[in-house]
Amino acid sequence: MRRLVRLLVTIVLFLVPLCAEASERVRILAVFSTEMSAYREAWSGFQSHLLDKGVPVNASKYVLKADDATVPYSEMPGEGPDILVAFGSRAAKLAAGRAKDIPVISCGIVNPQEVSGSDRTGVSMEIPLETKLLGIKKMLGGAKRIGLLYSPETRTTYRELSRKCDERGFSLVAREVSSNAELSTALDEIAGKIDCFVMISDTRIYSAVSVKHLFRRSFEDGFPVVGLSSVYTRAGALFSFDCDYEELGRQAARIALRILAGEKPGDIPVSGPRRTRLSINLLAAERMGIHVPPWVLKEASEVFGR
Amino acid sequence: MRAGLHTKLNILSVGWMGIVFFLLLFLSVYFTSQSARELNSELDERIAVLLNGLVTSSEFPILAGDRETLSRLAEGAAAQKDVVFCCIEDAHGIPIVKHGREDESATRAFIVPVVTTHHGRGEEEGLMLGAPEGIKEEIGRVHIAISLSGLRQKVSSVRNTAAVVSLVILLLVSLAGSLLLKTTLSDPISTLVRGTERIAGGDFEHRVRVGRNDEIGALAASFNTMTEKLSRTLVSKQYVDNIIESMIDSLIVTDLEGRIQTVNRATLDLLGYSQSELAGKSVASLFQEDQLGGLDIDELKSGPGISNAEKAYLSKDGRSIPVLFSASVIREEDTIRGIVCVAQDSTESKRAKEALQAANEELASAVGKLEEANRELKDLVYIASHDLREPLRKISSFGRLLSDSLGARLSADENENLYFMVDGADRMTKMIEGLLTYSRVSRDESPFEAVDLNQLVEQLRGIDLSGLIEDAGATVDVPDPLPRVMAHPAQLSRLMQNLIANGIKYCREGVSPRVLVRAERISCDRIRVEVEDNGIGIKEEHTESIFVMFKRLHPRNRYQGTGIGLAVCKKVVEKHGGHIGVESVVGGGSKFWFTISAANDPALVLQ
Repeated sequence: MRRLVRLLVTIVLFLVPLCAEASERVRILAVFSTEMSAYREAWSGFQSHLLDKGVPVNASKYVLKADDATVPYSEMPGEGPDILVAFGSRAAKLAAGRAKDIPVISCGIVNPQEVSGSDRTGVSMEIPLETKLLGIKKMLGGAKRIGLLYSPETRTTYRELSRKCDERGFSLVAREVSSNAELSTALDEIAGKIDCFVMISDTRIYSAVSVKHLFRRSFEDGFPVVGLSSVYTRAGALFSFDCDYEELGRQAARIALRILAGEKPGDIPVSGPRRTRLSINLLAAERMGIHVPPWVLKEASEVFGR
Repeated sequence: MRAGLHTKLNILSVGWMGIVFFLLLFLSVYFTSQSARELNSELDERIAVLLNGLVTSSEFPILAGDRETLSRLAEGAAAQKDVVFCCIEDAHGIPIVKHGREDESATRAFIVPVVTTHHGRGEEEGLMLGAPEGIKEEIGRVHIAISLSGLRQKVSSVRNTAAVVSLVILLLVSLAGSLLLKTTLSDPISTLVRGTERIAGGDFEHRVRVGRNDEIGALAASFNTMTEKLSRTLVSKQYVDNIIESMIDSLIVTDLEGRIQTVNRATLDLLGYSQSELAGKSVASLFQEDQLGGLDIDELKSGPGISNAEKAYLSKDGRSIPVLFSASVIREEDTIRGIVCVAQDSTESKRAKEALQAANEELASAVGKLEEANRELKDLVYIASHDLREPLRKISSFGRLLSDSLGARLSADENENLYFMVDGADRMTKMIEGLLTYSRVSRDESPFEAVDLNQLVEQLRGIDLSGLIEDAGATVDVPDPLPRVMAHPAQLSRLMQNLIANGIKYCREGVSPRVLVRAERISCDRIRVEVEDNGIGIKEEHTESIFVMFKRLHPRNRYQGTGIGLAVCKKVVEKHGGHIGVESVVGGGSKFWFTISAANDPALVLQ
């Protein structure tokens, strides 16, 4: 009998620290809008940063299905997550319903205004316009006239770009279109008046077929295109900027730490990507007679058409 | 009606052609349908590629409402091969542009929607990152009609080609098949058939030449072998028939009931019947009496048959013809097929036999008379010889007495005359003694016995001729052992004594006489004995006459003797069933030889 009691005590004493340790872990639920490598990289960066900071994390991941109308919190064992990290706008929107009791960090969103609010915060993957303008300056030293197409959904971006162009001495030649059907006509109008063209993330204007047309016009009319990401650089844009998605995740992790430290999510402004990666298409450059400076090439993370 | 081989082969060829035809038809149809399917598939593929390109190319122009571009696209599509109509419609099905003729018959229509894809609101990240667009929207349709006339032409061309090729193949196969059948089957078989017809016609020298190394060739070889054997058989049969017809004797073959089936020419000639008259007739009816009635088939089967029995045939004109009759059963393996009767006309032989018998009887009578006469003569000679000696002895003895008593008182001529008288009487006595000896040889009928020639010669050398041998300084040698012979001992002794004595007596002057006695077996039961000397020899012309009685070749004052010795030798030899002769060289000696029966001893070859 004594032996049995001694054994039970030993077991209890052994298990208590484990339970205590378990109860100290931060429960993080990552919700992916879709399964994309960018989100995976960001999620990896997020976890790595917390680990680097010595924060024990009990993390789980859920990829939204096409017919999911809400984030299924039941996926998270126990009482639910301490923090929800939503990768992509869709996940961010679906998670917004629970923002009051669960802090939501949106990571890898394009339109920060959609997730801004007192209970939400996040990290945008939208490349800052300044970065693009700087790239134009580096790559196309003499380019002054920048072409842009926007839709009613991206008027804000147009206005912002217009202001920044004025600040930096560029001339913005823009046209508002309501759909990608008007892209051709709009390009007809501005093609001869621009030195380069900047794409913005607008689902109304850009689809696979309209982007193909854009690049064809780009080659025909001789105006280089600044793409949305390296995917576009490979397809025909002269250059594009991508986020460093892992760094993006780390940024989100820093926000998480601040929330865990007691800050309110709404008090933390949505930030943009700290680190970007440049991709260049040398074939497009050659076709348009553009000489890319060697030092610019050295900066590029990806070079297509070598 | 019997169908010939050619007809059957032709039917077979037609059947084969039919099978090949249907096979080729099936293959043609299959090939044509396969080609049609492939052409269809090729057309579909080409149109699919065209449509795909058209759909892809018209997506943005439809979106952008770019009629000009769409028109160019439609025009370009309508200009493609087999495309007769192209229309690009908007999302409501309203044609935006069209080219070509829509109503053309024999066309196949293709309508493909033009679908555009894009990201929806809130999918900006997907747009940025190049994720697949989730929203599909049909913005128009591409309508194409293609003409099938080209396809049908091609299919028709393929069908025609298949038909022509099939026809050609059919013809070739048919020709080849017919040729093959003809050369491999029909011709060789026809050759065999012609061969059999020729052989059936009697040309047994004909041989089939097929020149094949298969079953047909083996059949031809067997056929030729069979023909060869048949030829030999027929030749043999012909030969046998010729023999039967050539027989001098009568040959009749009957069945087991004695009914005549076959007769030869000799039978017809002997009996005077014709072939048809004898066919089926009972052979028993040919005999003068029922001599065949007792012919027992069982006896014939088990026994050796009848051989040379004296029977008599009855000719057609009633003559009795004596024959020597023989009969036996004809066996074929273990089955008796009939009876064969052979009869030899014994008419002449019977007559000859009777004549011979008569002659024999005469001869026997004459022989008896001759033997009687001979016996009387022998007796006369013996008696005369014996009786004549007495007076001669008296003449000789009394003559000597007179010479002794009156010799001093007689003159020389008278003494000489008296000498001649006594000498003559002495010589006469000797001659008579010689005759007696000769006569005794003939009269002596005592049986022969085995005589050892060695002992006989030794006796002559040691006793009977010892004085002569010693006086002449002669030698009588026997180089090798002599055999035993069947002879009358005394007569053989007389023979050897005369020959040896002659060899010693007729010697050359100054040469010691030497006589050799030899013997050799010349057959299983005959011995040749030789007595050879080194004497004066005999002339060739006298070698026969020296065996004549009282024949002398030299005067008495040179060589003594009566001249009857060799005659006696010859008589003795003839009495013993042998022959005697001489081989001689004048001045080189003589070799007298005679033959005599050997005694039943193992032969010793003496030379």
